[in-house]
Amino acid sequence: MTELDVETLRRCRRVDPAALGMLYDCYRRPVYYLARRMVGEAEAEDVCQETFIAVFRAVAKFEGKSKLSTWVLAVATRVCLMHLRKRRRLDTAAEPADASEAEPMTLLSPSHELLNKEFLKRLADAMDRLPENQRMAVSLRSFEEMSYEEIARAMNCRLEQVRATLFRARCRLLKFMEGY
Amino acid sequence: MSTRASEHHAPQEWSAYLDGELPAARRNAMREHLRECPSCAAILRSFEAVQHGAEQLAQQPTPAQPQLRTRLVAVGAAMIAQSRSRQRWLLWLGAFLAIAILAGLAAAWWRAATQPRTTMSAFAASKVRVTLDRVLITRYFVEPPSLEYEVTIHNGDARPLEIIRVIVSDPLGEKERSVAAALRVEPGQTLQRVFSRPVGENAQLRPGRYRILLETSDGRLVDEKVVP
Repeated sequence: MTELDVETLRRCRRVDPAALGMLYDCYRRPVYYLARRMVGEAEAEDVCQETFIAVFRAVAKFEGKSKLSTWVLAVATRVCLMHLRKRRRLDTAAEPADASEAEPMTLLSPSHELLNKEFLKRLADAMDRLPENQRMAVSLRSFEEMSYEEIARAMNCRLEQVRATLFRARCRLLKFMEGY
Repeated sequence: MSTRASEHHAPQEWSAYLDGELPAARRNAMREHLRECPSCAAILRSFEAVQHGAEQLAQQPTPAQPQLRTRLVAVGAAMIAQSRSRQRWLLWLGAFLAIAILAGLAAAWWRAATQPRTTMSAFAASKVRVTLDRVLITRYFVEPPSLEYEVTIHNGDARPLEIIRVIVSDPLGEKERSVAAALRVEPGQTLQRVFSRPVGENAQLRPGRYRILLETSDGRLVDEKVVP
């Protein structure tokens, strides 16, 4: 994921519309992707709008303690969670003790040509079936430069939780794609 | 946790290995293990497939909406401008309040420092004065000796003079001492009074400055006498 340079960020704070446009262009794709994964196609655009409004509102207060992309995605994460809560779809119940650890792992066929169109479609469907926190972790991890620490900051959880959540999510994805 | 290359590794570890979130030594040992363990390699390959697949999904183009972009940028610019304007206004307000408070404090200090205390000379214009006529130590048989201040208070003003407190000071060791209170001198009246305070059995009138101060509702009246 490309990062906005410091000068453009400074121009954003000085209310330069061109710089704000660059900020939008830079982070729209990851924000939209995260939104689509989390709340679905229909509401993704709304989440995207709300995220950028929140980002524009707070950009002057951004202190640079984290990467701008991490900060923007953390804002997007919060907006997604807000939408999910509004729809009363947020599953706040504790996950069962890691079932995937007890069960034998599902593995993909080594002979199969991976990452083709069909595989991606099935994977997207499988991701939609993940619990929200796992979907969130996998989606955030999909952006190459998001480390566990950055994901933990965005999701407001501990680093160990990110590690465990990602593992569970991957096991579950493999299970959903059994037979592929 | 063992780092021997021949040992199997838990699937959780392969997940963290894939993400590059393991210490270098552990990572190297696991890399060595991969060469000789097809089952662990299969686990890693499966994790890699879903991870790379998710990354590819994240790279897919999103619908471009130039109108939305224009609208959002306009709204964002307006919001930032409004926020900055509010911040600037608050800054000015804060600065103004700080200056006003400082100015008020400075004015109060200046007034306190420069305001002339109303003394006998100030009262002289309104014909009110106090005169310390004599200072002496008196000894009686039954009472302890006392230092006495014989004072004349003249009120030439049209208003009554309300004396709230009388304070004396002397070189006998006492700095200031309140000796009487609540005394009223009518307009045109001249009052002679003795104010006294007890002193030790062997006390003598020492040379020095003896002072009397009358605190009134309008200010202070002071007189003093130097005993050679």
